[in-house]
Amino acid sequence: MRMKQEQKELFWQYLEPEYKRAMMFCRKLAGERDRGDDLFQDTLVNALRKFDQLRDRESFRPWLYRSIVNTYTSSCRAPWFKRRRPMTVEVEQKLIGADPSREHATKRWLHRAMAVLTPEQHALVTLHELQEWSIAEIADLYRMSEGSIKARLFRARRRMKKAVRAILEQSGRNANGLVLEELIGLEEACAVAKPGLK
Amino acid sequence: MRCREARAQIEQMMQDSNGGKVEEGLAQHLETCESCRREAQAVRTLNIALESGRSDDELDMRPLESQRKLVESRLARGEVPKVYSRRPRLRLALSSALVTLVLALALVPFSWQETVGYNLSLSGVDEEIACSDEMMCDLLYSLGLYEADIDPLCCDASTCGVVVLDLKTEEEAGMVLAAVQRLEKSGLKADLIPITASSSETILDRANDRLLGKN
Repeated sequence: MRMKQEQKELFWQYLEPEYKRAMMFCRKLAGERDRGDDLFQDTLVNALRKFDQLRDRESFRPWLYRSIVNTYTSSCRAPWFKRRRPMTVEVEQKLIGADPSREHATKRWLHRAMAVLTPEQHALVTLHELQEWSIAEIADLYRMSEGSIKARLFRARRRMKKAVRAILEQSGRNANGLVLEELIGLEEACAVAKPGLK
Repeated sequence: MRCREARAQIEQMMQDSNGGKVEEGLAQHLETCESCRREAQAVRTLNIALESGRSDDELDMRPLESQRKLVESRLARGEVPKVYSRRPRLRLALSSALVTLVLALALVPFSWQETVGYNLSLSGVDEEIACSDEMMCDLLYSLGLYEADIDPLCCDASTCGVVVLDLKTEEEAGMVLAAVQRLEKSGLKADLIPITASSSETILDRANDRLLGKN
């Protein structure tokens, strides 16, 4: 029992420097704050339970993130999660309070693009694109070669691009509506974030 | 610029975070090519969306101590997140395949060759014994082999060949051989020839037959 208490103390000590970043990662991975917080707590329960199995304490960080990804992919296999369907643009347009402002527009595009990814690809893109982990760090996390990670990232990006293009083309046919407003928002975002972009 | 080159540059634009600037050649191409323009627009939209996702949402972050209490109390209550199987479909497919295989083995009839009896070929039997049906039949009856039969073969100088037909088991063949050897002291040669027949039945029926046969 005493040993267990020591293990717990050690776990929280190791977690402390990574606590905020790991929680942010969960929120980004889940795509929403509440679900991200639930995911983080589930991960901590799992991780604390299995902490004594971690032999090399130096590799706590990759172990923790692997645990997050595993908990996330497991939750995506839950029957209730599989029954979820992504919202169509038409449904989004009808939602009361749909905010076409720049920030919300870009977030919505991100969700749409990410919606087509598998949970594994989702985790990979979140780590690399949103958490800005290097390829080497991700390769270390997944225990894979850098080339393999690059290939997976490329496939994920291509998939997202196809989805975005499909929505853009669809929105081109529907001359007005939320998507068009969002595009205007995006154009503004472009102008602010990237002055060189034509 | 051709579309292929333009697409390559657009792909590069997707991976680089160089401010999304495009070369003049590409810009000219995009003005004339509708398809590449859409591609570039998709890439640009995606890049901006990804960039927007990098900002941290630090609202309502639970402090570490409070998180610790919640996590440890959940563990104490045994509230562990449910783990969903990695490949439930694969597992289901394998189970179905296994059940199908077992059913096929049990219900589909198979043909096979089966040993249904033995013939015992004897050579070097004394002519008197071999040609005397009575003597040979008496010998078989005395051994209790009422269904076995005798088929004399060609003879040379003083010895003949005889085939004892329709013996049921190797033990019966051994009994006949021992009996003939008692009558015939000279060089006797014996060959046991299995009688095979093809049969067709399911593994289930065969196992049933074996069990009933044994009982």
